[in-house]
Amino acid sequence: MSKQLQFKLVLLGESAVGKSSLVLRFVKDQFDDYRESTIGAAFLTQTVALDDGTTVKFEIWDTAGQERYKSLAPMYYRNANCAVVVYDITQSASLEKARNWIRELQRQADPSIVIALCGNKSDLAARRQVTQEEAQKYAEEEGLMWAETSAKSGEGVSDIFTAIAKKLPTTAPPASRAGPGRAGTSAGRTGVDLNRQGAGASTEPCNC
Amino acid sequence: MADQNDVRLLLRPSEFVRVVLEGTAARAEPDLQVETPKGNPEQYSWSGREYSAVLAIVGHLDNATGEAGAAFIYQVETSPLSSQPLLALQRVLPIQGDFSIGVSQVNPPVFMSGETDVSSVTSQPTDPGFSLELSDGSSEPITLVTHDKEHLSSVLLACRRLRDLASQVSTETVTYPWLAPYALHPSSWFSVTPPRDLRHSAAFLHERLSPACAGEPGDDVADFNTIRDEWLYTKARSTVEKDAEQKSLRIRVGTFNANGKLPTQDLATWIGATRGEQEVWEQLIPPLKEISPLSLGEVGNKDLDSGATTPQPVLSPIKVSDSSTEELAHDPDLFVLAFQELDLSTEALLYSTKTTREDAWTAATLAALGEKGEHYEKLISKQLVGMLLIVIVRKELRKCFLGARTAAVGAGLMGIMGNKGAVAVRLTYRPAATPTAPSPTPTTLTFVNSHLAALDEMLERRNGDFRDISRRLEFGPCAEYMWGESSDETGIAPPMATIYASDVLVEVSGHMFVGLLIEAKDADLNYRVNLPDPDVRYFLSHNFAGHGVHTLLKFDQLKGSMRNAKAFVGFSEHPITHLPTYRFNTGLLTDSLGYDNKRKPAWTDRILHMSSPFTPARQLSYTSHPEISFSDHRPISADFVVETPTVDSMALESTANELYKAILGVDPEDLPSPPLLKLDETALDFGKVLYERPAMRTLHLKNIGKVPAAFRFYPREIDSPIHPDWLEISPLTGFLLPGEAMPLTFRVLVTRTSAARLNLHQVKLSVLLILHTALGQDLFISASGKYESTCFGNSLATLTRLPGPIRELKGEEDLIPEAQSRNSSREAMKLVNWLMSNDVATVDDLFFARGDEELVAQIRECLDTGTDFPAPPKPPPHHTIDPSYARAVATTLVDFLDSLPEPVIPVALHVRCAGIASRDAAYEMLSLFPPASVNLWIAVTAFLHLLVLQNVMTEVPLDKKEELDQATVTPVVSEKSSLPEAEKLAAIFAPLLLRDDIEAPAPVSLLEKRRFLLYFMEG
Repeated sequence: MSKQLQFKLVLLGESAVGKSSLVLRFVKDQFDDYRESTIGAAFLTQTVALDDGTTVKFEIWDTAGQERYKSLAPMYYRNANCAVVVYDITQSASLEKARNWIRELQRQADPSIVIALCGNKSDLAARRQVTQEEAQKYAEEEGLMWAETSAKSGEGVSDIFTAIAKKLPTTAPPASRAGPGRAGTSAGRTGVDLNRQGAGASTEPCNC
Repeated sequence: MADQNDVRLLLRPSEFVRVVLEGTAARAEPDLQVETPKGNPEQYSWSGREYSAVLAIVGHLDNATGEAGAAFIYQVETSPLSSQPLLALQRVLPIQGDFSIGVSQVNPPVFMSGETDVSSVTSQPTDPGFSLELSDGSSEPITLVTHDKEHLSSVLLACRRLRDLASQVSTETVTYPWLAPYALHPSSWFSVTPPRDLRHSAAFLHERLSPACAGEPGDDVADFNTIRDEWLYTKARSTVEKDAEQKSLRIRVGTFNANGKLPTQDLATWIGATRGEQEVWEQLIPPLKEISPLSLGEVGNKDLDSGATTPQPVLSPIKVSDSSTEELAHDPDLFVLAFQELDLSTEALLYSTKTTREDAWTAATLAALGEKGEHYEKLISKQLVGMLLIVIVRKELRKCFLGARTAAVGAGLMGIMGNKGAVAVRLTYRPAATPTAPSPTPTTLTFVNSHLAALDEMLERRNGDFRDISRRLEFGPCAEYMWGESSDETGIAPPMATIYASDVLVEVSGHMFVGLLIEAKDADLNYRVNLPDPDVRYFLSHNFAGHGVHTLLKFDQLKGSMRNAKAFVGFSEHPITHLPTYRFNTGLLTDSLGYDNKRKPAWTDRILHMSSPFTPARQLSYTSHPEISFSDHRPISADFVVETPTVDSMALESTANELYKAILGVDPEDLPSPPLLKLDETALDFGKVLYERPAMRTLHLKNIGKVPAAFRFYPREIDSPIHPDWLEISPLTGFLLPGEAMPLTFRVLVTRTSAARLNLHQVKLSVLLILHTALGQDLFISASGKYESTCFGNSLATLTRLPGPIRELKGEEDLIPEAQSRNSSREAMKLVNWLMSNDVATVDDLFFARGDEELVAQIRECLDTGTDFPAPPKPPPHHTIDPSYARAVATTLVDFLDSLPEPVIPVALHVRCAGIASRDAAYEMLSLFPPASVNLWIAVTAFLHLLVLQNVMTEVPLDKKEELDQATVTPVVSEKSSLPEAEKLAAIFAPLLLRDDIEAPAPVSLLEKRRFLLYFMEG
């Protein structure tokens, strides 16, 4: 029987590295040349089907990259199962910011969080400031997944999300992770409520 | 039961009733178990599925297409008030192509009738009945059981005829547009008619949403629906009511704990209606002899026998024996009178709803109306043991009261006995029809008379009783709720109408609620005053034109419980100016005001109310009637005016449904595109933010998506606040259609609470607010300002360590070391010195009247910046200083002392100070004061001493009699002469220098604190 798993994913990274574009490409396979800067946090979902029949539903929080909103980021990466930290391969400073985010996640996020480092704008390789070797070496040192993507051409985008989906634990469905706070996206349906009651009753250990 | 005329009233002129058939119908949902409500001794049994119903075959005549027909099924709710029942439309089935009606015999009856408590709707028949199954071919058929053979055949005939007519017309033209206004479809119809829970007003909407915080949006679907429904309701009502004619309903509410006595005095002043000839009453009752000297004191020694005991000018004017209609217009439309302890005999303690003594009180009440009595009649009453609620209505309005339900719960012995508890009446008022509103929307008025646990120490019990009673007082399932909010998750059982499902709610004899539902709670609430007994009596006999009452009420248990949201949440109470209503005695064991020596006087009898914003209830008066003195309580009364818009219910429903159509098909679980909101700005800069100086900024929020959007502000963490205490946001939730925009208002205000925290630590105010779009994105708004610190709200210890003006302080590290701190606060001394060095003794109302707020703010700014006070204006003749300027300085000092986080004398020392019994001992206490307090204390008391001395020089000798409190009479014009100057000043300064802790379970005696201060002032 096929399994459906649900994971919370957060996107972090400096302003204008293409976080929202990456999500738009992943969720809708679209690209906008002129996207306004995100002032807040956008919420989207996308499902990935794996080869073994498992489907993984990502609940994605795309956060604002601007420095002044930095203090709110922990609210969005708490309880996250995975984080995609994005930098722009044409801006070496953006990799520095990505390193800061990764340090923060390693210090403060859930210890089991899966972190992927993602070098975006690979279509602009001519203006590259960050070499693949440099980024890859750093990722290996820190035990991160790494890939380069182009939200504009779509190159590598679905690959990295699929890779993350494969790396996430399949044994312990993180449904409880989402908790009641995520009821709005799925459990809000009447039918699900009943199911949940039933499921709760059956897993409750008998204390007699 | 319902007949053709009842149905006729609900139709439009182009429609007519062919035939009407009574029976019992079942809701369509099959196989659903509905629980019967939990044990209430009074509770009738009912089932959620069946209801008394009327089937009406209605015809419509159209010149073009001829006659067409439809079957209307109404739920019937009977009213004890009149033979006219309340009908609520359940289904409409057009009689055409697929319409079918089937009849079968049933035996025995399959349905329990949905009886209500007050009448017998249907008696259980033993003869076989008939079951009708009606279907329009598409939706769920509806079944009706009837025993009315006579009309059954007419129904069948009419249906057949109408169906034949319909089949003659081509199917394309038979669209039945005339049925559109009645087109009920459970999924597409939204009703705004039933009263909603008063506690669910828009202001508290965000509290009803699911728990959520940044990144954890909670149950977005449910929240979307909640916000949408609120929007729909508010928008529909305000759209329709914008131009509606307002009808005022005048209600006089009274509550009286009779202590088991029968009425032996004229109740006219309490009833408050214009009174007929005095002699009428005097013939019935001999002149009263047993009035205590104490109650004479209360009414200012007026001659009781003269009948000139009109207590308050706010009451209805009394004109003798001229009851012209014009005068009647000012009389109440409704009297709602609540009694407690009508009967103290032992058998009455049991749970009994017999109308014991009701007749005597009803008669006394009507007699008190005098000649006007003929214009009134009793509408309904409800008694439970000693609690009685009588509603008397003006005869000509009786027809406007369509429905009345009553309820009673015991909360006495074992939690159910009726010696304590509540009785309640729920009225449905429908104003007379007008050309624009042929079927006006009704207003629901609920009145609750509750009698809660006695004794001072039973506060928790009283609060618990109130919550228990509020929950258990139910009026049974209500027909008008059919499309309203549902009480259970299945959405099928009709919700029980609680006291809060009102437009106005009044709780009496302790509490009165008025809501959009008028709910009146009259109650002997038995809430007491948390101060020592001598304090209470002192402040009552030295009221100083209301000051004493005001002081005592700060320690009132009911006010405290409301403040802490322990009971009566959402209710309001009119300001109290009358003296406590309990406990009076007639013997020798009374104090100078007539209060029993053994019982601390208290405001046990109260009237509270709550009302919907769409039918605001205005309270015009709130007073006691000490001249009615045969009980140990005194009656109280309140006049209300409820503004009820005359809105056509059909117009309201159709407006709501127009709006509903705009969002129909928007399934929050399956939106075609994500909701998208946009702000015109994302940063708010408040610039310089000063203490106690509010500033506003507005942002505009626009729906730029393709679907309606609901939004709410939410906090960072589940338990953290949405915004800091120095910032307010309005609104916190909202709903926008695509393309719509709305303003969001942000108001910054630093008060003493926030100042205490901000002063030393935070120069830059800055916060990120999170606006969450349900099922969509979060928007961040940054709000910032530069806080200008103030000397207000700091501890004296901090102020004495300031190297200069506080505004120049860079941070906490710049404070001078504690060992080198100054000997008193520079700012406080600057104020005291100014007052000392100017001739302020000649200034009237110094410290009693507030100074000009703008000037007060300027003076405060000077203290904060270390600059000189603004130059005072040229003094008027005979003054050496401008009085308004002096008052502003005095006000600044009072505000400063009041803003100290810890009073000048720390709370820990209050008990000791209060225990001091000599001047010497008082001065010895100075050695225990904190260093920063000693000099300020000495300076302030020295100034007060000087002020008293200067005043004594010019003091007018006092008439001793005037020392008595006269709160129940007209306000004292000249406060100055009513009390020695020192005592008056002590009354102001003791609560500042030794601040009262109104939340303390056993506060330190205010009197003893004053005595301590007076040792220094009188020197």
